[in-house]
Amino acid sequence: MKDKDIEQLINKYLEGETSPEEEQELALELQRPDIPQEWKAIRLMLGELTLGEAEYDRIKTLSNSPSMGRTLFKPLAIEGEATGVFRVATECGYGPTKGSESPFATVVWERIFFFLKCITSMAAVLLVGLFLYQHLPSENTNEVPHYYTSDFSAGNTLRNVYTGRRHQENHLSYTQFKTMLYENK
Amino acid sequence: MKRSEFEHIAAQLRQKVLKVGLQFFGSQEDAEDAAQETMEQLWRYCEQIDASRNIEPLAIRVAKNCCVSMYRRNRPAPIPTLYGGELGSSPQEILEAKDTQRMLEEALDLLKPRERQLFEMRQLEGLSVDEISSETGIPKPSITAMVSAARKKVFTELKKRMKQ
Repeated sequence: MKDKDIEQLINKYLEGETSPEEEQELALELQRPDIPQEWKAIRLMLGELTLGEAEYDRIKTLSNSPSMGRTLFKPLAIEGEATGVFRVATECGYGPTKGSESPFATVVWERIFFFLKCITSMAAVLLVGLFLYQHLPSENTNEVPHYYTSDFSAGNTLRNVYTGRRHQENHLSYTQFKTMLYENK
Repeated sequence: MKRSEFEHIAAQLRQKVLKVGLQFFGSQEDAEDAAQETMEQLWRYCEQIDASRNIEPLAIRVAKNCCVSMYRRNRPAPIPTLYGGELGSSPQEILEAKDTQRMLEEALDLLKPRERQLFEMRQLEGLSVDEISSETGIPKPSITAMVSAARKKVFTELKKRMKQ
């Protein structure tokens, strides 16, 4: 708002013709650091309550904007790694710099780190699952080496046959084992 | 308003104040804190409030201020104001604020009782001319004229005192 517009609004205020909304707007405009002495008197007359109410409406309007949604205040409750990473990043100069950031930029950064955390966690779970799948022994213990079923004539050595039979010792009875030995199966 | 009168309406008032907090924060916990703070403020000043007037508009304005104060306190970094400066509370600023508040009170003491009542209804309670008219029964043009006269008196007095 230009100085001329503020002057007009002040005159309207002194005439008692401003609405509460216009007074709130005026209170916000008069928060500028270097204002004339006369305007300071008006600021004083408008009072803290008018200014507070104007701030309330301003913050509420911004928090209800579609880009921010109702989650504006939620990141404050997230006390986890995401917030920690955000703080470290900010201190190292990768995040928004202190003093220059708007509260909403802060919220955006916190949300970005929160989503990154979620993606990293999912990737970690997948990697651990892949590792276990590759290294744990197979549950199928009945699997028989291919040379077990072959006889000596198929080119296998006695050691191969013996090893293969030992593999199944726990599962065969003595009679079965003897029969198989004689029948050379 | 006596403390006993305030206690009588406190529960009902708290519900209204809680609603303001919920609309602002969107969380029950923060809204409860804001409502508690508002009720404390009102309790502290209830003896200065005119019992014949509806306290609800004032309570809602105080609640909105408490919400904004809480919001500023809970932020990890200081919140810049609309024009870039930070809201500070250095000893010098507190002293200046007390001084200007005293000047305003002295200027308000110069008003006639009716003028002061209307001035406060507009400034403290934030009521519109229509609302004041329906509450007091005074015609709207008269309210506008009286409010204007009160504001001009206070403005002139403040300018005079600020120059000194």
